[in-house]
Amino acid sequence: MSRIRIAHKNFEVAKDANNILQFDNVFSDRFSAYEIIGHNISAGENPGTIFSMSLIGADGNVITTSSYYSVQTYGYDNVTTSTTSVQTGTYFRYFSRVGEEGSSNFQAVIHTPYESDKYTSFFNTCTQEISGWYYSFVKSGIYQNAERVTGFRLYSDNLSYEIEAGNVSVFGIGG
Amino acid sequence: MSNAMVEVWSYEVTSSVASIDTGTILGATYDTYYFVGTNISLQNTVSVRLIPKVSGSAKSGTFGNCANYYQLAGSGAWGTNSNGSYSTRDFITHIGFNVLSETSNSASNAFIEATIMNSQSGTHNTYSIGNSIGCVDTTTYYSRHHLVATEDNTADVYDGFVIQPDSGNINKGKFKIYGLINS
Repeated sequence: MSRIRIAHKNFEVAKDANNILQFDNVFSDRFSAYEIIGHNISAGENPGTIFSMSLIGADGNVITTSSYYSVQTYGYDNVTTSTTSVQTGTYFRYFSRVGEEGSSNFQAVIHTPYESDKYTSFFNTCTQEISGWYYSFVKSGIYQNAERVTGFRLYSDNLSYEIEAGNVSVFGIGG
Repeated sequence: MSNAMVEVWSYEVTSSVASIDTGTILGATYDTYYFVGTNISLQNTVSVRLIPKVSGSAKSGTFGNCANYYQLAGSGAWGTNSNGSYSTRDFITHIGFNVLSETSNSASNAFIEATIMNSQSGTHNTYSIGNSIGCVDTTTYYSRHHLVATEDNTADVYDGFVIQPDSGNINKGKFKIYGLINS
């Protein structure tokens, strides 16, 4: 079997500060890598919202250890490119990005989250339209603490703005 | 509808090996193959090459026109390996450049994936597009996301691969190859 869809959420988030999309217990010893695909994702109030990721630990709680490192590179307007230095923090600040109404899509791989003796790493390619420009981002990073990760949480890192709607699926790879 | 990806080969490294030979597992049934390796740990801080086999033997010499870029969780900027010395190589893809060895850090490992196109054509070249992510260190660069696009500048027909580090052994890892159904 090549890849199995483990979880899927077609979501719409109410207009409050609780704009969290959480996948519990999606990682297991069945796979060492997972593909996460998001499409048609909208952020109505702020089209440039950062789409961040926190990891969920074996106890079901969000991991807030300051061992998350993530970076991003992006291009837009055909000619403009930019890079951002590593962000160290208590979550992956640069996991993805959300653009205007339904224009945001991403394809990410997250590696060895469930292996309690290994780090958890990811890379992600995402696209979206922001303020009339079409953007392409490449993001990557690592959670450099060897512990078991069972799920993840996606959210805007600015809770004044919301991730409104979209689709996110999780697939196991290579098992 | 049957599964669009069919597993044609699988191997798990449970005790250290210098290289892995897939045997002759590729064929005309599929035009495109997907290669994936997970939870790969290395003895040395090196890269791992995916070397194609033709008529049952690993290819040698420089046939791979390789364009590779990486993103470090440190500077964030894109880089290329060794000022372009990787422009012509003997592999079709590789796990990017100096994944920190398991000896140096027991929690270090790497992931690789590559889509290999046209390997069954005797008239057109073979192309590969791949990604890898691995641990680099714990103080400066943290992780390296590697993107590798390679052309085999011959029209050789592949029948397998050899997976081999630049030096030392593969201590651990699960490797699979899938054929993508043509229609």
